[in-house]
Amino acid sequence: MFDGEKIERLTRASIEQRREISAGIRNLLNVDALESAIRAIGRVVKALEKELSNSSHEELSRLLKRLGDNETEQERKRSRLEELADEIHLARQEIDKTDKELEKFNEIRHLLERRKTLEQELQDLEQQANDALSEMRKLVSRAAALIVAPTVITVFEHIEHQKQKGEIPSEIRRDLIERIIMEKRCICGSEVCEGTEAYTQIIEWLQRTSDVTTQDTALNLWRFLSEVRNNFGDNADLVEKHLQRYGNIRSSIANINRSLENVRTQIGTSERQDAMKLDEHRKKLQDSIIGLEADARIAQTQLAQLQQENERLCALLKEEKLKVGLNDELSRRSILARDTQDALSEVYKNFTREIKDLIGESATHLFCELLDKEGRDNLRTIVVNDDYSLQVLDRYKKPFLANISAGQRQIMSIAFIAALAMAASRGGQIEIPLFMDTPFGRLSYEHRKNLINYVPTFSSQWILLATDTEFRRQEAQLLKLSGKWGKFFMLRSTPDGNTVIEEQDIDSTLAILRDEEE
Amino acid sequence: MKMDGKIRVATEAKFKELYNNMKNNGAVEDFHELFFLCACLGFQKGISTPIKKRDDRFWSSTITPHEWACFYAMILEMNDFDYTKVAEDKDVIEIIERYANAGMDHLIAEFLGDYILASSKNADPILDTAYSKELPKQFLHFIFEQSDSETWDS
Repeated sequence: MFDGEKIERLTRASIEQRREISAGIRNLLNVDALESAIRAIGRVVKALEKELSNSSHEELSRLLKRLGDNETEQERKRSRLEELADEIHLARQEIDKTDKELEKFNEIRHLLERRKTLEQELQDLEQQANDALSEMRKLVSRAAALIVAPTVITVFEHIEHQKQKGEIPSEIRRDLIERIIMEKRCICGSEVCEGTEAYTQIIEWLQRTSDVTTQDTALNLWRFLSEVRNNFGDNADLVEKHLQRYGNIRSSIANINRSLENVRTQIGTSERQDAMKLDEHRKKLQDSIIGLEADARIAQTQLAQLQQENERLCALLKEEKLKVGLNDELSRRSILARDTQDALSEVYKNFTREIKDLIGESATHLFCELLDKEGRDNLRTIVVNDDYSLQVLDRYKKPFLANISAGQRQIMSIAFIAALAMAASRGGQIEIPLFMDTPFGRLSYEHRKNLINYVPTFSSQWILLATDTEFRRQEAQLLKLSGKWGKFFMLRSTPDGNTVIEEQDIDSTLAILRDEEE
Repeated sequence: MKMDGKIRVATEAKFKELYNNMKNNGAVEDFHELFFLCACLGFQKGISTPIKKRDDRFWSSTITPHEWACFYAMILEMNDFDYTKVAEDKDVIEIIERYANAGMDHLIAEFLGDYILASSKNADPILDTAYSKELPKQFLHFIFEQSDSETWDS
C-alpha cells in the first residue's frame, strides 16, 4: 500500500525507516533455518564459555566475562531500539488517528479559536473588574467626607470669616488692647477711663479675641478643612469615574458572555469541544517523536561501539584460548562453536548484502525510468546501506539524498518499494496488487507521466486513489492511451457524512475530470 | 484638638464581626474608614446612640488628619463654634462614637441589611460572603448617593 506521506518517510534516515527496510529485506531472504541455526549456536557458545570462565585461567575468565557483558549490553540496546521503534510507530499511528479526529473539527476550527479568544478576554475583564473593586475600597473615606460636605464648608467658611475680620490670628491685637486698658490711653492719645463707652467697647473687643492655643487650633483646622473642601470636586469625579469604569467592565463582560454563549451554541456538542485538546495532544506527540528519535540515534551509536568492542574482544579471546592450550577439550569445543557462529553470521551477512545489492540495482533501474530528465542527468544510483538506510548517489558517486526534492524522494521511495515487490515476485512482474494513495500530490507532470507510462508495465494490478487535482484530464488521457485502464470509480461525500462510490464509464471520464487550468 | 493617636476607639460589641467582615470582604481597607462613614451618616441624619456594650475596635492613630478635621467640624457646628468642645480629643471621639453607632444602625437598615445573613439579623450581624462579590461597588455607590452634589459642586 503506497501512501504519499508514508512513502516520503521511507527516505528519511529514521529508526522506523531502517526497521521497515530491514523487515522488507528479511522477508525476501527467507532464511528462517539459518536464523534458527545462528540462535542455537549462540546458545551453545554461551554455555561453553560460561563453563570455560570458571577455569583457573584468569585472563581467559576476564575476557569471557567482558565478552558476555558486551553481548548482554548489545542485546539490551537492540531491545531498546525495538522498543523505541515501537513507541515511534505508535506515536505516528496516534498522530494519524488524531488528524482524522481533527478533520471532523475543521469546519468549527474558527469557532474554537474565537471561543479561546473570548475566554481569554473574559478572564482579562474579570481581572480588571476585581482590580476596579479593589480600587473602590480606597475611596470609601473620600466618598464619606462628601456626606458631611455642608458641615465642612460651613465650619471652613466660619473660620475664614474670622480670619478675614482679623479675629484670628489675634496676638498683636490682644497685646494692644491689654496695653490700652493698662495705660488707660488710646493710640490716638485720648484717655480711656473705666465706665466710659469707649472702655466698655474695648473690653468687649478683648472678649472676642481668643487664646493662642484656640487660634492655632482654628488655623490648623482651617488648613485641613481647606484641603478637604478643595478635594470635594475631584473626589466626587474620581468616585463617579470608578463607578462608571466598573459599569463599563461589567457591560463588556456581559457582551462577551453573550458572544460566548452564541459561539458555544454554534460549536454544539461537548465532543467538539475536545478539538483544542486534540491539537495540543498532537503537538505533544510530535515532541515525543523528536525525543524518541534522538534516543534511538544515541542507542544506535552505542550499539555500533559495542559491536566494534565485540570484534576486538573476540579476536583477543581466540588468541587467549590458543594460549591456554588446544589440548584442553573444553577450549577446543568453545573455539569451534564460536567459529561456527561467526561463519553462519557471515553467510547471513553475505545473503543480506546480495539482496541489498540486488534491490539497489533494481531500484536504480526503476528510478531512472521514473525520473524526469533533470533528475536523470544528476542522480545515478540507489544504495541500501549496511544499517538499512537508503541513499542516492549523484553522477560523481557522492551521497546526494539530503539535496533532492520532495518529488524526487517520492519517486525514489516508489522505485525502492517496487524493487522489493519485484524481487519477491517472479519474472520481473509484481504479482500482488499495487495500491497507491495520493501518489501524485508532490509530483511534477513529467514524473506523473513516467509513473503512468511505466508502472502498468511491471505491475499486474495498479489501484490509484487520487484526488481531482492529482488525476486530471491530462493524466487520464495518458492512462487511457496505455490501454491498461480497467475501472474508474468516483467517491462522492453526501451531506449525511457518508461516501458514495459510483462506477463511471472510462470513456466518459474526460468529461468529468478537470483540466489543468481549471 | 491634637489629633491624639493614643485613644482606643470603640464600637458596639455586636458590630465586631461586621467590622471584620467589611474589611475582609474588601469593602473597606481599615476599620477607621467604616467608622468615619458611620459617623458621617449618623451626623448627617442627626442620630446619635450611646454605646451599650463597648468594645475597643482600633487605635485613633489610624484616623487620618482629614477624618479628624471632619470630626472637629461636626462638633464645632453642633456646638456653635465653641472651640472648648474640641479641646479634648477623647471627648471628641466619645461623641463621634455615638454618631458612628447610630450611623451603623442606619447603614444596616438602608443598605447592609441585604448583605447580612438572615440568621444573624437579630443578633450580631454577619455579612453573607456568598452574596458580597460586588459589595465594594454597591457600597461606594450607596455612600455616593448619600451625599448632596449641590453642596460640593458649588
